[in-house]
Amino acid sequence: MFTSHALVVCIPTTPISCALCRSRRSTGERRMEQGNRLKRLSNPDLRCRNKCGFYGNPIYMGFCSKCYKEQVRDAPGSQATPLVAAQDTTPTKSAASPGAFAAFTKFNVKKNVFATAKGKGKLFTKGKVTAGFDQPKEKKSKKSKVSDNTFSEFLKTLQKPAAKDLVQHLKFDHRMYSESVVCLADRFHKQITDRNDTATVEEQSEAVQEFYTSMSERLTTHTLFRDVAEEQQEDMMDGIEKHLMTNIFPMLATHTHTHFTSPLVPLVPLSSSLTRRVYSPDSCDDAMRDLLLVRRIRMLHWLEPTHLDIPLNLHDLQVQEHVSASRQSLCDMDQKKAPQDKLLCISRCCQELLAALKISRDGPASADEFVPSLIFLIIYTSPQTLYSNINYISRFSHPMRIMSGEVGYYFTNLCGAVSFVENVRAKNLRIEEEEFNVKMGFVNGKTDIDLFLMEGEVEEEEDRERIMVLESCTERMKELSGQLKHMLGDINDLSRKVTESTRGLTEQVSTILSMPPPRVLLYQSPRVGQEGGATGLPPGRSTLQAPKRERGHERRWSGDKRSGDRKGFTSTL
Amino acid sequence: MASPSDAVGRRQATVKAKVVLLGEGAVGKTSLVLRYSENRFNDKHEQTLQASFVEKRLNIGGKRIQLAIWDTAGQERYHALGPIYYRDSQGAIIVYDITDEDSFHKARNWIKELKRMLGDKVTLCIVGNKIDLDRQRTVTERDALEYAESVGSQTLLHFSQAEQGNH
Repeated sequence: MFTSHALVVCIPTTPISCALCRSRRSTGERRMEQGNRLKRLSNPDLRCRNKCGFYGNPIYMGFCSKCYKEQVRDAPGSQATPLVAAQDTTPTKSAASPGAFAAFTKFNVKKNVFATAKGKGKLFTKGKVTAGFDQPKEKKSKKSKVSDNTFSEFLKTLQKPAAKDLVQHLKFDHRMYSESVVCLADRFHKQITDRNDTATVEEQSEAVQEFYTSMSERLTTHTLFRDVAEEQQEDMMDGIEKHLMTNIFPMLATHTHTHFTSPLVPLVPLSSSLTRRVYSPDSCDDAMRDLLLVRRIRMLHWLEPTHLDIPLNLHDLQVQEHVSASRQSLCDMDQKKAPQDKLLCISRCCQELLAALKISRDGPASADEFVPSLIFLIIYTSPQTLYSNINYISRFSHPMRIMSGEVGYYFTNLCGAVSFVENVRAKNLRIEEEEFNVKMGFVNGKTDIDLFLMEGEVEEEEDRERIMVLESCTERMKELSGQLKHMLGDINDLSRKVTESTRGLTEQVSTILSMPPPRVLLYQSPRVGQEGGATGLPPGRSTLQAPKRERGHERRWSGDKRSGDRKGFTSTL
Repeated sequence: MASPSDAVGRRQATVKAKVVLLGEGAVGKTSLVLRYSENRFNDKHEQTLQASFVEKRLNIGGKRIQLAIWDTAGQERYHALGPIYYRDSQGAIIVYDITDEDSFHKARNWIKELKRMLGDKVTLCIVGNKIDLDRQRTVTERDALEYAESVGSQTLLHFSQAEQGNH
């Protein structure tokens, strides 16, 4: 009790009152305080929900601390921790609960597949009015709407005839592209069914790149754009690229996604987002490379900043802030669709890192410090789909963007850093080969890739065994269900026979019983009665049995006579 | 921004060039870049965040040139990353430390590699840094000049941060 009290600082002027102090104050003090408090408590929203006269607190669900404690104590099983704690534990955006998200992704994929199955001709129907493009039928995400808006805004800034031409040209090309994508998708499907996985993403990428080339050629040669400034032309290309990529993104997502046929896929964990299906399609080994990179990073967990001579002063708060912002940007990349946006994340990441370096070094950083820091940052952050992201950008981005300029420089550095992580050796870290092998968990000189492949083989073997077991089980199940069906038929036959014979029997019995009793029996009846007495049957029993049947007196026949009669019955059947 | 009068010829005039900065770690690549960028455009680069990527706009003989200088990590362990950086570059600045024979050797390796990978398209510029430490010089000027001529390097500069002068 006292420890919790120590945590609550009691300042008379603060609206949150201390539960323990209430009992210790004299009545005079309390009255005075109450007067003050009533003034302060003019706003009913701030008061405790229990109406005890004290202030409530949102972290105590609107109760004051004392009433909250009572509430919790009175209601066992209710949430004992204040809401603040619950808020703290809610996962961040990047680490959203994977189960729910995977389910959502599955749903989305199903939806997309369904949309494709509905007919390819219908997939590209009437589009949006804003820019006049054909849009895929699927419901557009918020983001692409935003991009549409920005794009139409951007078009407004252009000169009118130029913009018109641009729209026309884009419309034309967009349709062309849509058709070509459909063609590619068809071919892709065929290839998948033929078990011949060739890289169709490359073809898609080629189509996009061709479009960029034709577009920029048009911009530089067409009379309408002659007077447009160079910077503006670049902006135009930016806008076009962003618009195109954001809009064809769902298309690509639909067409590139097919059944998992790659033998490596069982090794890959369920994708964490829908976007992953686009930039790590089955036709290439992006997903595997992603996994390998993550595994390698995990193996490098022992790496210290000193191994790479990183001048980052991680004890400095400001540096820490910049580094965490940098990591955040690197992770944010997964949420972006257009290559530009992804590149923007990369450059933000690098700039934050450079800022951190600048503080640590007290001067502008050069590549000598920047590259190792970036490598360390990647290992420190361990992004799940870095490789796929890089490949996606290099496939679908305008080449000028990733080859030149500051963004291009950062992208190149990122590629370099990833390649370093992938190929890191003992001499790169200035440690002994043996130490490196031990730390990385390499056995008998086998690298993680060897181990990975071996694991894959083992798993494949296991999978094959499992499949065999499953197949034998299915066989047996089929057999059993056949037998069961047979037996069910037998049972039906039998029950039908039984009902038939029962009905026949009942009818016969009723007809026989409705006939007058044969005279022979009447004659014999007294003898039967004597016999009954002779056998020593208690007279009560015969009288007891009598009311059960309508002709009770006829039932007093002796056992052997009845059996004789029964024989007569059976013979008539 | 150019005036409207030269709007017609402007497009051909702007030349974009990528220059990669190579050299062993701690030969003074950073100071070289900083001196170069801040000497000409003082106010703009006062608050330099970094010296790894520097963009320069030059005007030479009426031609607008946009120079992008890409710094690379010079440490030996990152040597393998070189091709990623110097791919598609039009020029290369190779820096060595005149007091460090080893750095000159590394510079020669870089040039050999550049020649092999990029052919003769690339413009080379060899820089001997730290000439203020002339007394500790281990790489003679004559050797450097001879080498520069042999590889067809367009320029051989000697540079010093302390004296603020190019030779």
